[in-house]
Amino acid sequence: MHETAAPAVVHGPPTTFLSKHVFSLDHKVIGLQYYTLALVAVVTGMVLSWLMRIHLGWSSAAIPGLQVLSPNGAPGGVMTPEYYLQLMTMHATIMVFFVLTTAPFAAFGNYFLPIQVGAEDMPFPHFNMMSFWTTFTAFLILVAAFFVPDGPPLSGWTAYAPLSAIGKNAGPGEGTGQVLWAAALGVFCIGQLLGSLNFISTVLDMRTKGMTLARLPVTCWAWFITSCMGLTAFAVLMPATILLILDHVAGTSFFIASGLVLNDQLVPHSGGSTLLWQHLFWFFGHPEVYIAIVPGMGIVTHVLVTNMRRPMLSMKAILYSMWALAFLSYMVYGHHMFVSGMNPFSSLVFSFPTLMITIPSTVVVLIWIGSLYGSKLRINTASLFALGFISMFVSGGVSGFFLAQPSIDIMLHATYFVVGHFHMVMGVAAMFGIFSGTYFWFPKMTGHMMNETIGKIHFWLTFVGTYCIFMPFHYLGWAGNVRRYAAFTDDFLKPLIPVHQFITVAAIFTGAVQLLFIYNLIYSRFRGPAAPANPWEGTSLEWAMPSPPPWNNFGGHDPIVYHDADQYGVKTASGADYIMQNSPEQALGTAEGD
Amino acid sequence: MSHSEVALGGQHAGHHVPVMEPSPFAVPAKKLAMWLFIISDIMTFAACLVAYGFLRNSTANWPRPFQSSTIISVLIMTFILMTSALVMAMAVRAARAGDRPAAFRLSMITLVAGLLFTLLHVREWFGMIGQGVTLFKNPWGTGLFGGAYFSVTGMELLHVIAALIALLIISLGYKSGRYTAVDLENIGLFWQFINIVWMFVVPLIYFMNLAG
Amino acid sequence: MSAAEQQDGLGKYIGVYIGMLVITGIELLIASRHPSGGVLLASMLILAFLGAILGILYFMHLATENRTAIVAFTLFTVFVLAATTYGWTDSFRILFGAPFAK
Repeated sequence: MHETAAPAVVHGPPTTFLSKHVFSLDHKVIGLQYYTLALVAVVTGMVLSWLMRIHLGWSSAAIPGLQVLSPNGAPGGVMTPEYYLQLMTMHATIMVFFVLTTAPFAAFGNYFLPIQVGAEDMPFPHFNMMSFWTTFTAFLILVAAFFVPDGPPLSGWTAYAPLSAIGKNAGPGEGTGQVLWAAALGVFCIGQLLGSLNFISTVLDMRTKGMTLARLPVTCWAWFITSCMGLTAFAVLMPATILLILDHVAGTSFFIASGLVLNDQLVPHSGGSTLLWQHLFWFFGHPEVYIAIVPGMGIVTHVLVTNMRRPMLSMKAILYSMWALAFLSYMVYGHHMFVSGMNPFSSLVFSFPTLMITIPSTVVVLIWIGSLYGSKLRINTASLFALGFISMFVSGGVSGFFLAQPSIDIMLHATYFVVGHFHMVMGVAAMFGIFSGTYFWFPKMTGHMMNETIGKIHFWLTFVGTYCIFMPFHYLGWAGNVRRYAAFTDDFLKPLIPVHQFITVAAIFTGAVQLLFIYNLIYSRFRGPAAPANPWEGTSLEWAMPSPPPWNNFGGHDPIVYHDADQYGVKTASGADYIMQNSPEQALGTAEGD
Repeated sequence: MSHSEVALGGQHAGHHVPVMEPSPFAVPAKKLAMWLFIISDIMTFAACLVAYGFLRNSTANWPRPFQSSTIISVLIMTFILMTSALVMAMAVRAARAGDRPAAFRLSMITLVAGLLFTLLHVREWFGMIGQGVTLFKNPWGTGLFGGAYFSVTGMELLHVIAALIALLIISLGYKSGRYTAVDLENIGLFWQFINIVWMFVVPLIYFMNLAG
Repeated sequence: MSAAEQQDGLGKYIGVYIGMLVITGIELLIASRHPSGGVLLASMLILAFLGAILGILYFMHLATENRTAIVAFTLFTVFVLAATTYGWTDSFRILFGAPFAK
């Protein structure tokens, strides 16, 4: 039967190596492909951050081998200020797009969303496959910027115009590198669009019998909400990148204002608006932040409920809060632009919802903490990383209260305070969500258990290490340390250099600790003890199938769902303290007195 | 029709029909995906039009070049596109009623109308280029005009061409029985969407820039 | 949606079609009188949205879809569309120095 005539769910088992591992239609393989891509990207991004940190701590030190990567950017291994910015741009772009968006949303979502709703696959497996390969192509295009003559762009991941729009005279990498950057993002948007279509239709149309919307596990809701944001946010970024490319290659002036003088020469462009780029970019950029964090919230809730052995105080409040985050994320983007020269009245308008968005975030955190209070939490690596997520999210979120107010933000804007804020709240917090999900789901994905001892060491060293890196960022910000400086030669910045050296040591240490994680991943994949079907005694459908699952998930037998995923801490006839979603068993009462 | 069949687009699956919960929107997955794609595309066009409006507001010497000859040509194009939308709606109606030959005939008429629209559109573009309008300069005012004009209408033209190719493939497949009424309805939705975008392009790009 | 669903009459289609053509005519009529920028933009947008609503409801059959679908699609899209217009005031300030640019 032709593929388009047959509903998508019935793709057969893979027959060749290519159809099994490379151009696979299986959502699980695609999820693992996304995970691998994110892993490659995160290692790349981390190495870039090391290079930058070494330069910030010891600005005259030569980094062996760097001159091979870029003879002009790092003559003799000592990077130029421009090359520092180029590395920073690539670090941020790779991390935001190919790690924070790809891993918690596309990787785990692809793998577990169809399973958790009880489907054999997503409704459009071909779109799904294309989604991964477009994203992969985008990654290749982006990384190619390292190898063009002038190197990658130096305009930051926000690519503010006019710097990003006037071409190679603006600095190294602002020619071909910037065009490659914009093209990579445009292509990335297409991949995410295809992914979002699949995710939303899976949740709405592919739920197995009994899996009503009210019984969906919280992770499904998190991925669903994220897809709704992705559907519209990336659709705005794509035309923006096209207009940026036109400014480069076709001589248009969408983002270049009149009368711009560069190197004592009048730029031959007129009429455009630099603010327009910021409006278009941040319209996408702010939902993007929540695209990175909301799946993490879902994963953490899921992991905590399983390990607390009792339901959250209110799962509904968590769900509504995640919806509120998504809703408000479209109304706050201007808080990135308080000092851009935007209409000051808009600052007021943006400040209010920005402060409001702290309410749903706080509600979620309070429910987590309130539910944890007095619970007999099972301490394993997954639950530790979930606790770490809460810690990072709170520590990074608190500084958001300051930055939300224009009067304070004007002082703190473009300082390390902002850098510390977003690294903690969306960077590290989301990373902890990814780690938590990995330790939690690894047995299901590979059929092997991960090593818990190495995992716990990995957690504690990472936890302490990241605080050592990012807390001092806040102090540096208060001291007036401006971000994006490649070296600190000004008098008032000189006393801060030891702080930077401390951060650099912490960053190299924390990065090195991640080798433990990678070792654990690879070793456990091949040598780890065999995983049972339900190692954590979870209730959702992914635990109702063998580890790893067969190509058609439930072996052609669709599960029937009788409960929501919160049946923990109950008395049952069999003596277990939980009831799986697909078990018709009824609870005899709660196991605990409370 | 059972719920599961609705979810899959009103067809029987090959070897295994999963039993599923009803869709809250009662929209089959394929059609849902088309609607979602259209929502996403609305945002893409909105971003282009917002950029155009933003730049137009912030530029003093925005030209208003369109003479009556252009407007007449645009009116003819609008008439053709709207008629094709009507015919496409009728084709979908026939397909829903199971009248395969009529639906095929009507979608072929849509295809011809769409091709005619494309040709007139390209002719319009050549006319503009002939008057010296490029992406970055024109004889009348700010160079942004050409950039905005060609990018917004180019987006539209790109959509039209893609839709025509898809319409051709799906109509032929529908005639031979490879595609179903749902598939034809889907491409019909996309064609209607293109007509709706044109309803914004005409007043915002052409009528707002009338000469005189 | 089901096969037994009510089919719209051809009359309704033709009514919508004529409505769309008439809307385009009114747009041209208003534009050819060269009203001030604000009036022109407002009337063009209102008329375009009217035409779009006709097309979406009847040619795209949203009117006969499930009520939840209509509400969800419409609210979501209109909200996100509305959110794109935050930058509007900034576009005037470059040229007119107002509001708040001086």
